[in-house]
Amino acid sequence: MDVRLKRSSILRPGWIILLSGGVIMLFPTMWMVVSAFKTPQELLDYPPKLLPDAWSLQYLKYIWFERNFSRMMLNSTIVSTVATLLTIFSSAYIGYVFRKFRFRFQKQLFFVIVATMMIPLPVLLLPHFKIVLTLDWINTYWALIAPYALNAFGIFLMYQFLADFPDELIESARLEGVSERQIFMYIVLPLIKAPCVALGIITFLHQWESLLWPIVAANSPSMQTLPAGLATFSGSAVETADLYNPYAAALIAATPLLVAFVFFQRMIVKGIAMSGMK
Amino acid sequence: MKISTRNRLFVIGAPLVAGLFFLIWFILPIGWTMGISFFEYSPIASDNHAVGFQNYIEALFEDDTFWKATVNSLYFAFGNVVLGTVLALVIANAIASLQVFQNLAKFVYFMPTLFTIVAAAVVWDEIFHPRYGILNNGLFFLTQALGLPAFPEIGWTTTTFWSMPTIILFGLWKYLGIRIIILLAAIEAIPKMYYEAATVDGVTQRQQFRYITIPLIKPALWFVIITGLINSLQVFEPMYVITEGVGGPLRSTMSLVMLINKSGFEYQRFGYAASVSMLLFAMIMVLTIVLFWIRSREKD
Amino acid sequence: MKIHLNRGAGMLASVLTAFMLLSSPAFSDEGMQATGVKYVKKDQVNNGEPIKLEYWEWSGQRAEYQRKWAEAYMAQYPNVEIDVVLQPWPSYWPALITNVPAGKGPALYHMHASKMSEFCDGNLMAPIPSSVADPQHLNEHWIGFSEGAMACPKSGSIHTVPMGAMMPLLFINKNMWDTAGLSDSDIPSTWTELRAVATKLTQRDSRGRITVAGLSFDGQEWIQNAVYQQGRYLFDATGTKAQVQNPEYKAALQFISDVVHEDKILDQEVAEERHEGFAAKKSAMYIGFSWLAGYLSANAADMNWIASALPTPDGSNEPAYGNIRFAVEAVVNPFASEAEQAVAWDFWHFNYANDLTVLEDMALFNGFLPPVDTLVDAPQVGENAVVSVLAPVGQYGVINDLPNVIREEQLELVTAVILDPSDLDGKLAASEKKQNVLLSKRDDWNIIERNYGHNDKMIQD
Repeated sequence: MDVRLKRSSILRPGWIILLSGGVIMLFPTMWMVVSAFKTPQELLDYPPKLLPDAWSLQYLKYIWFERNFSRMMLNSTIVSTVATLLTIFSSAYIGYVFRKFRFRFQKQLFFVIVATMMIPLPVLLLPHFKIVLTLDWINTYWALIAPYALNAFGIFLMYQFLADFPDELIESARLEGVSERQIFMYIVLPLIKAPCVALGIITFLHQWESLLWPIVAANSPSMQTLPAGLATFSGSAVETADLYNPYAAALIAATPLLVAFVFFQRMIVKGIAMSGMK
Repeated sequence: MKISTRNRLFVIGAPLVAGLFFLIWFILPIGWTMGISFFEYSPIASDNHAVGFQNYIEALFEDDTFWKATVNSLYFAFGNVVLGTVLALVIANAIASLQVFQNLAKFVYFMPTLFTIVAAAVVWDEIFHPRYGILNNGLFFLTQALGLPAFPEIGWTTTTFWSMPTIILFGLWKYLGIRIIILLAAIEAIPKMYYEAATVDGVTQRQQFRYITIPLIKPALWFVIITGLINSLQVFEPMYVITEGVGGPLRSTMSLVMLINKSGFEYQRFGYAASVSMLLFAMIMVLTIVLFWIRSREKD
Repeated sequence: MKIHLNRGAGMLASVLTAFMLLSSPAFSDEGMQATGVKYVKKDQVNNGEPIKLEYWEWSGQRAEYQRKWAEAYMAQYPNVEIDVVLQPWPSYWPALITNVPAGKGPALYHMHASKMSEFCDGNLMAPIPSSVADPQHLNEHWIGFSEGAMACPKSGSIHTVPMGAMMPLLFINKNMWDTAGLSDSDIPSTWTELRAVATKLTQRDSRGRITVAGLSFDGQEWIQNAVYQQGRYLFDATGTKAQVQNPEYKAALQFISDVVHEDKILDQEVAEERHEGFAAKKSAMYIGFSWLAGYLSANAADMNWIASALPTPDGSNEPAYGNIRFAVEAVVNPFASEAEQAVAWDFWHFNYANDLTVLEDMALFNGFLPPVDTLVDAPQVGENAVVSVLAPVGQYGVINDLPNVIREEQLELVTAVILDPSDLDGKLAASEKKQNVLLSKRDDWNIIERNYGHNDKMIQD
């Protein structure tokens, strides 16, 4: 990597935008991280303290041990990981076929798929519950994963990213007798790693934050996911005098995401290194 | 060319899987929703009866909250899509051109997305609170120190004028990372040699951005704009958490999906919620078709 | 005292200590019968076969004592497992209305008074068997029953008993009070006095902005209390229409307008902070329901506060003091299996028959008036900083938990006045119209305000 840091490069507009933008993005986030170690009294103090007096682990411990968070984290990890892998793979496959092949009712079907993004999510809740009930999937991982194994966002994303994918590459493989499945698995997939990883990050995050559906479809203590635990710390509930440090819960829930993000980033870097062609 | 059964299966499998999946999880539910939009319906009511078009009439002609929420949703969507796309593009481009610290920069811009929105809303209030927040007070002291006219107390969260811009800013801060990630993936897929050749020819950075980057990431850019519009018209959480479920002050931040949620799950009026949903669905559909039309014209 | 012998080894030491502290004989032998039916320990429940129940709750703080009850019960009947599950408030109700009718819901779940109409209509709560609670005893001794607060609007069936009753109080930050040179004799009892002390307590920064509001409140609650205090009901005699365009309602709103625009002791920026603002010392006085005591002890432990009775227009508790609301505890899921329901009721009976559970865990812990008249004179009530203030005014509380649609419209009205004081009459007219449209969408609202004990002193129309 080119590490020559010329003086002029610091003054480039790009750097200035990034630095000032970075500070704006980071400041509230860091505030959240630091606040996880504050007492409720410190959280209420005005003027606000930037740093806590004593870095208290009280709330982190309380949340992890007393609020079932370890189990929730396991469930969230399973659900998010499986849903993400399924979404990436199925979106890439379907997006690829829609982009590079022709079949009947293709346009209509694609339009219907994109249109499903426009359905307001709250109205899906009751019918989804009916479906899952009919399938007898209540309180199972299936209930949490199945409706999210695939989505229009992912298909559309892959479809767009494959717009400029070189047909010659596919053609030459075909001439050599490589099967369509193998072309997809071993030629196309590695070259669209970047959008796959981007989709992976977005899907994982979306699953990790999903609150309403998991509680409706799988609410037994052994099936609860992290957002259920997090939301018990929101102040909007009536008549509750709960111990209230939402930051501590948020920090615990964010930690695996930080790890996942770094992990996916590494995959991106590898993916880029391989796609020097076009 | 001979097409083997296996190859045909590979091709036909995709529309089959997609068709089945979307039929079960989306088409049937939306059909059901359309059905109950003609009912006064609740899953726990003893008396669910058909009301014809009454729910639609109520939304369009009787409930002024519906129109307020429609305007609010459009306001949010417009601000979010325009600002969000421009900012994400500029930042993604800047990150892509970094020689060092690239991963760190991605990380920084993605950080807010990783924290639960509930905690983010609380911290946001600490910053944007008109009286006690550090934004107003900080700018006041800064302007004082510099001898400028004193920065006034802006009612970010307490006036009907500023409440929506504040929510838009919050949404941008919280979710900008997602758009940056998508556009970055597109920019990074552009072969480096294009830029190298351009640099050799003496093309400036600005021109490279305009004549290489933008045209080559157009599909991704359209993706960000279209999904941004669709998603931001369905926005719910930012206003819900910032206003603690109220959508205030004076419903100035009540979005359509918030109204749907409230009508359904708070007031048990799922029929009405369904009719508002169908209207929102139609609205998003029209706007999306307009966008697709613009895009197809642009291609020609 | 055979109570703790019954409870076996699983009993916590702290509970034993609590029993020891009870000196009054009224709480020993006759103690275990708050619901009028004594709980007798059975040889076994569910034929001794293993059974597992879920018990849903949205408040982490309450879940702690509910777990304590579950442990006590499980120590008696080792084949039973009761799992108290925390579910967050925003998704609590969607999860219930889908899962309960499908037979997938918890055997027991914490109920909220504002959801009664809908849950009655959907038959989502099993009626209380008379073997668990004596209906006549509930009517005669428990709060709210004779007024119909616990009954389903159409059927009149009873499914739940309250943990206690909450009423509004004036919470005062004692340090600020002392700093302002005020003494006990200055504690306001009329609206005029309230405005006067609030003016003294207000603090401003160098720019003239309010940093500590002299007085703050939840605007919706203020309206309800202030209208009742003037003898006016919020709904007409049929309980189907809101009455907003009247002098009393206008006076209640005028008070808010005066406080904000004339006295300038409160503004929208501080008002939106509500009880959290009081805990954060951004208001010197706050009118809130008594559960705020629990919030303060958990989140602002070092704060020095006192509670006093809510000021009224003329200082008298007549015709009414204000709104009284009930916090109900768990209900039994009628769609659960019969075996689960039987154990759920037995567990429920076990808790509610126990005077101490009712008095300490449910009522005093939450800052509520004890729900049974036999417990109102308990020594612990006199020692409780908020409940002792409520006890004398309890009979002047007007029972009604408003439909959420009405609460929201009232909040809109108050916010509109805080932001702009002009055209009160126009705002009242618009709000009345909107409230009536919303009310017309259902015909089973549980409007029972006219069952108020001192109804004869209220304005009849």
